[in-house]
Amino acid sequence: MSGATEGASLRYVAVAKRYGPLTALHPVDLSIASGEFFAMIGPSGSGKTTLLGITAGFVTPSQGQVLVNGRDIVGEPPHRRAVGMVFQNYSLFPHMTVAENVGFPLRMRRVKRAEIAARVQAALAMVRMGQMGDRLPAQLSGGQQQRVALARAAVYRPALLLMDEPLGALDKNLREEMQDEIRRLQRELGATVVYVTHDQQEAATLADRVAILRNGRVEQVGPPHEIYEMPANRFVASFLGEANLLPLEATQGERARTAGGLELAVATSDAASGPEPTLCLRPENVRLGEAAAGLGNAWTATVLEAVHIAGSIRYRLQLPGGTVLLARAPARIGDPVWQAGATVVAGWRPADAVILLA
Amino acid sequence: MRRPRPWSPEAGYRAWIILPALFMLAFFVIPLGRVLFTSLSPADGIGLGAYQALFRDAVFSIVLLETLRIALMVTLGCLVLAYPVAYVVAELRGRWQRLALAMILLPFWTSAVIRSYAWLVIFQRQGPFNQVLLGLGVIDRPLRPLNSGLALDVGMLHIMLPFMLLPLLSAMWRIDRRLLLAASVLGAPPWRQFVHVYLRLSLPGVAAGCALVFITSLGFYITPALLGGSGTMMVSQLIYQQASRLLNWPLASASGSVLLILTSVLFVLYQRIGQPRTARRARPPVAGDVAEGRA
Repeated sequence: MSGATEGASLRYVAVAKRYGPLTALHPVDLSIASGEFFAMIGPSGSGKTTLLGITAGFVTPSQGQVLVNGRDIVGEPPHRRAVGMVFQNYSLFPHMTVAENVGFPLRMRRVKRAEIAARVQAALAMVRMGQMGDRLPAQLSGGQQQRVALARAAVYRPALLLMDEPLGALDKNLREEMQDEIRRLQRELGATVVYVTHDQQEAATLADRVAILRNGRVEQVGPPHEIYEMPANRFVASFLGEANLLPLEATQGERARTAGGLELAVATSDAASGPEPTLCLRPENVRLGEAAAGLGNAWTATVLEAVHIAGSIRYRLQLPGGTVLLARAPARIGDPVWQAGATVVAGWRPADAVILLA
Repeated sequence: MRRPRPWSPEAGYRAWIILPALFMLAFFVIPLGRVLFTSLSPADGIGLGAYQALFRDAVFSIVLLETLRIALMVTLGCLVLAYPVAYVVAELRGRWQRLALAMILLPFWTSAVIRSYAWLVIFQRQGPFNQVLLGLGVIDRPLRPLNSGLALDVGMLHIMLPFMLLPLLSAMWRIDRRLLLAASVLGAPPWRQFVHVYLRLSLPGVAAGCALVFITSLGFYITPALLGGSGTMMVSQLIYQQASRLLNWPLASASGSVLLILTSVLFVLYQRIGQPRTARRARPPVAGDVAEGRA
């Protein structure tokens, strides 16, 4: 397969879904650019699958428009939408061989037999399953089935590819391998991808931009690193990576007091006029020992727990007044390590913490 | 010195198989063997005499063909009636599905004899069937469904319907509805979703239902005896006649054996070709396959 497709642009305009008194999705407005890899993440029940279903045509929205290249597709049945989709359970047809599965969308489009064979072979080669055409899905491993599902979704070169937790059923190592595969495939195809997952790491690895959903609302949209550094609220902060969230009781200028009674230096408290101002401090921004001395905020803390996790040490610290703080330090050979029970100076620069409004 | 064989779950329970095996031997294998033996030993010594006599007389062939025809009609009729019903029931949920199942199973629990008698009453010359048709003006003289074979077809259809419905339902319940969504997003309009996915995946149920209905229909006795009138006769009735009226036991045994062999052949055919290839090929190859030359 050569030559990338022009990815479709996708826009949701006030799209909402209600089931009787239940609201699965509050009005959502999102714009996804042509060729973008866009991930939607959120816990179950957040509305991400509903939004994907609306895009595929399985769910009729209660209101709003779904514009693909500027054209509203809400009234169209799924089979006319020309989107590709990869499902969490792969949804390969068990009675068809791998080649028949991949050829299915072409057959539905009445492509000539000889051309189907050639395009199926090319699509299978693209996902490195060229030798498996005669197998039945049940004879394949989970990772292989997912490759076939990818080939099947990509073989007719849809301008828009939807993926519903495609790696959810795979184990961790295979998942990481398949992430690379999906990213490569997307670049080759040039298609716009909307990718639903509940795994924030996966979203951050794959996506150009991420939307975080909760209770049927979009909480924040942006590039993963931007969301990580500047979360909009406590939910986003704790959903994307680990965070120390310290509720603030009072703020004035560049000083603030936490509910736990700590007097802090903050970069600015202008933003702290929200209903529940909270300080968000990422564990890797907490410095320990000599590095912490002389920072704007520094306390002598007691180590409650020190856990070595693949390359870094995760500390649970107790500050004066009882506040518990998470800290993460790289586990470099020769660096000091504090065991549980030890005391250590912990601190951070005021600029390394963000104040959240809600 | 004999070492006691180590206990294993398989070995421990395997011994119990002997009980049903003995039962089968006493009440199935031995009587069947006797039937086969009787069929091979007519008055003039051991041989195929009874079978020759059977096929010399055109009656047996005619009755056998008629039996096959009726079984085929009943099977096709059941399939046509049961498929849409099973489809709808499989789509139902919760209370409605339980209700529908109860309505399917209720007649199933009523004796076939009673249901055959009920149809006998309905199809009488003065029965409701004729009265309704006469009343509607569809016909101006009473029909004789009991002699035309209509009553027999309807009666057997009614009795066999659940045997078609239940295998169909169990196959349809197993169909993953998400596959239809997948087909739709891949470009299949509803009717092609049905043909390429749903129908194909329901075929094991169709095969099982057809085998069950066809093979069971071959051996029907009570219903044709009651509803067949004077026009139709099925093999089991012929066997009864040969055994009780003509007292020709070798002939009756030969007829029974032919029916048994026919049924067995059909069953083997079903086993060989009726299974969908998913069931046969989906199994990952195992070491034994190579040894047996199946790989």
